[in-house]
Amino acid sequence: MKNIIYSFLGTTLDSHRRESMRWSFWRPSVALAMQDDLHFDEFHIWYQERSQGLFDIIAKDIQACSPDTTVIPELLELRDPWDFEEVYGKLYDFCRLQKFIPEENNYYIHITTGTHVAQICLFLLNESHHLPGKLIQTQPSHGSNSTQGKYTIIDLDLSRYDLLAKRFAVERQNDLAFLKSGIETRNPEFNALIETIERVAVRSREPILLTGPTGAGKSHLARKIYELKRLNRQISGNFVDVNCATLRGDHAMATLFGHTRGAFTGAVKDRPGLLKTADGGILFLDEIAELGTDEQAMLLRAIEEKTFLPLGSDQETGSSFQLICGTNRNLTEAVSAGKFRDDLFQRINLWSFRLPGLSERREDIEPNIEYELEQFSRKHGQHISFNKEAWQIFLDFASRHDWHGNFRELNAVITRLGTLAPGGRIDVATVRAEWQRNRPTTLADRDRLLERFLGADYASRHDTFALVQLKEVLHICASSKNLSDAGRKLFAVSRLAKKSRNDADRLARYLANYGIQFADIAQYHTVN
Amino acid sequence: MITIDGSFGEGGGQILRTSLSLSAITGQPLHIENIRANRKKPGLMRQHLACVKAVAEICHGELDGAELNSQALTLKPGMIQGGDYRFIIGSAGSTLLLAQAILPVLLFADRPSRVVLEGGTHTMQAPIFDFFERVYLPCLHKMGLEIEVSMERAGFYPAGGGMVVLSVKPARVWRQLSLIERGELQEARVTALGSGLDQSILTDELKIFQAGLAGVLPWQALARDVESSGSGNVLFAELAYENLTELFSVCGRYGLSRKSVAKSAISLVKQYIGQGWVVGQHLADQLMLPLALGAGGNYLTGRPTLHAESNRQVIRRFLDVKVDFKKMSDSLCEMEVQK
Repeated sequence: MKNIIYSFLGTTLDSHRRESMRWSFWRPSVALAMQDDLHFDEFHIWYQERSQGLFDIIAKDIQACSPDTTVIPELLELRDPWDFEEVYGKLYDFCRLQKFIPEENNYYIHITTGTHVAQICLFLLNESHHLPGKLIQTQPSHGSNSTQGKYTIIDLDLSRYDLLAKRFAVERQNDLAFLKSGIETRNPEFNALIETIERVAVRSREPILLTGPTGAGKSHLARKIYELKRLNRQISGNFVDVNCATLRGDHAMATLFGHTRGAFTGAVKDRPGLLKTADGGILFLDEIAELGTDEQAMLLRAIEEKTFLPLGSDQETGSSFQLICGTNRNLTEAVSAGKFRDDLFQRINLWSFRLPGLSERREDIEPNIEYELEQFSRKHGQHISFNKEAWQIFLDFASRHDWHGNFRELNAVITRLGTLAPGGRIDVATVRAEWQRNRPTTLADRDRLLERFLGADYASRHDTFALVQLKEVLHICASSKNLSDAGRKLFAVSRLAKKSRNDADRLARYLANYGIQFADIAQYHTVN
Repeated sequence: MITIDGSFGEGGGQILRTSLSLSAITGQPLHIENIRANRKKPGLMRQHLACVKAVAEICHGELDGAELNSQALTLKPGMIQGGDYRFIIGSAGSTLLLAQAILPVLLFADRPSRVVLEGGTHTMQAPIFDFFERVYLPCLHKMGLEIEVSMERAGFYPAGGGMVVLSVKPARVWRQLSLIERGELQEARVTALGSGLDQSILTDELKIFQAGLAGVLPWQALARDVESSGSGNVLFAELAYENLTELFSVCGRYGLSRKSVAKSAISLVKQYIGQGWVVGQHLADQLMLPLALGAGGNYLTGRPTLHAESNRQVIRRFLDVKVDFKKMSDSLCEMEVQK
């Protein structure tokens, strides 16, 4: 491992009016070469041609103090060493030309010499890894070692400092808890997911895509990400939440990108549009798959170039926002079907996270119930709790329930329980009532099918024996694409043994017995 | 393999240098740990590393852990080879401390050596060249050794750049050395050495020194300007007796007044004379190893220092010799090395 240092020639600190007396004073560049416990194989010095004389003295003196150090001159002409743009640019170019090999060499960057602007630039280049290594700072000291002074090594990798690392760990835990709304989730996959999202949220301004079943908490998480970034002072703008399914036609364009007065009928005044409102903040586009193709194209341009054209305007407007998209649809399929632009998909698919449904993380149901209960209590200013037996019954029910509507459904269940709880105490009766209410939903739907196709008095005209079969047949038909599809499902076992397969016929004939046509069922299904 | 605890006794560079020399001379592999463990900056500093590498080069040794700030080191010595060497020490490290480490080794080489040492010649916390030349070497000469030293250029802290040439012939005979009496005082001389300094600094130091010791001894004073790459100043007093010469030096530096330099030198001289020592503390530390390597001997000195105690321990680990401190009075002690 070679030790290599980069340092500016200190035109003030390294020079001394009386050359003969120079060894009696602290000169940072030379002092670095005097350290007992530090040795550099290469000492690169940035200097300007007009300081050649001083450079020669310093190079000679470094060599005297440290004979096995090679001093390497690095001419760097700066018109104005206090001009940030120039200094940063020149140093940046310098770094680009160097072949840094951090695995083979230890790099050090001396920040005591050079202007403060140069220090800032070195710091930035180091932080962005353009100039690898540790920062080193020198200072004079008193007593017998005054010419040698002292030095301090500063490693900008904050995780190397125990106290800071501890603090950051606590803050990170707080961030995670924040994203999880303080719910102590136990599902390891979900916790790992949130950790990744936190890291991305804190470090990146690129688009984030949240997928997962309806009610999984996409919109809630998007808002939490926004709040976290605001707390960390990473953004200052608004959180704009739009459901793309609600945007249609001209209205959609205008809502998103804004319009000028008179751009269309009814446009009585200028409107900035949601993208503009989200400037400096976060734009959350939920159900992104529902966005129209024109809007998709405009949006892509708005993300990539941060500019767009409001409706009716001939002047582009700019907005810098972070985009978060949500969808419960499979976007890859939408792209294949030509319904979603591939380029937009690629752009928003950079950080893609799938939020699992509640049934995929059953261990988290309990803490979420507690959370919902607390939220309900807070909202209604009344403390709501389960009695012990009711809690057991409810938990048992909750752990077996499929939770199709996920958090939205859980929220509804708790709201009902909380509202109906006698005296703020949820008892067994309330839970049982809720359970009953939940169980027959699907059965009731099926009864409704019989009613629709046989008439309201169906029970009095048909045997229960026949109705039981018909109910299930209708139900399967309702969830099938066509007659053949339904036939395949209904005769799945017997069709294996047959040569000719006329399941569709067989089903059509069965339905005809009750005066029902498959098309009617399909139509009923789409309407409802 | 002999393992030495580097934090024992004085716990610094001395224990390291003595161990390195003895390992090379006896051919015993050395493992030294806790190097300078209790110092503010523990482990090998640049000047120590220079010693380690120099000894290893001379004895064709294999090194492990020879890195800056390393706290553990292993040396597997090979054959000691004389000849021409050149060692450069950065950071104005003392060429004399390096000389002290390699000189005993070169006494056991296959042929005479000529070593060029570049670095500091007059630095703090190390013997100055004049001490090495006029105090230490004459003692070795008395023991029958053939060693020459010359200074081509002075090197002060912090610029260094000094050059010392050391010529060593392999030891052929070892004579006992006994320094129990100083003998007649032949000369008392005080020198103010300077480089790149105002002459008045030197003359003032001499004046103050002489005034402080007026009536004790008649001093010959000498202001000497030497060439060097940096500036520097040393005030040293030499007492040449019939049996030995002793020398006491104080390094001047920026921020230390001429008066303080002179006063420190005065107190060193007064201490030596007043305590009745024959061999001063620094010389006592340095003589122990040659005596143990050679035919033994004895000398009258002050109470053993930490340096002396750690030297004794290290020597006894490598060599079958008896090293005794016999207390003569509160301030006097006889040091005896017996083969």
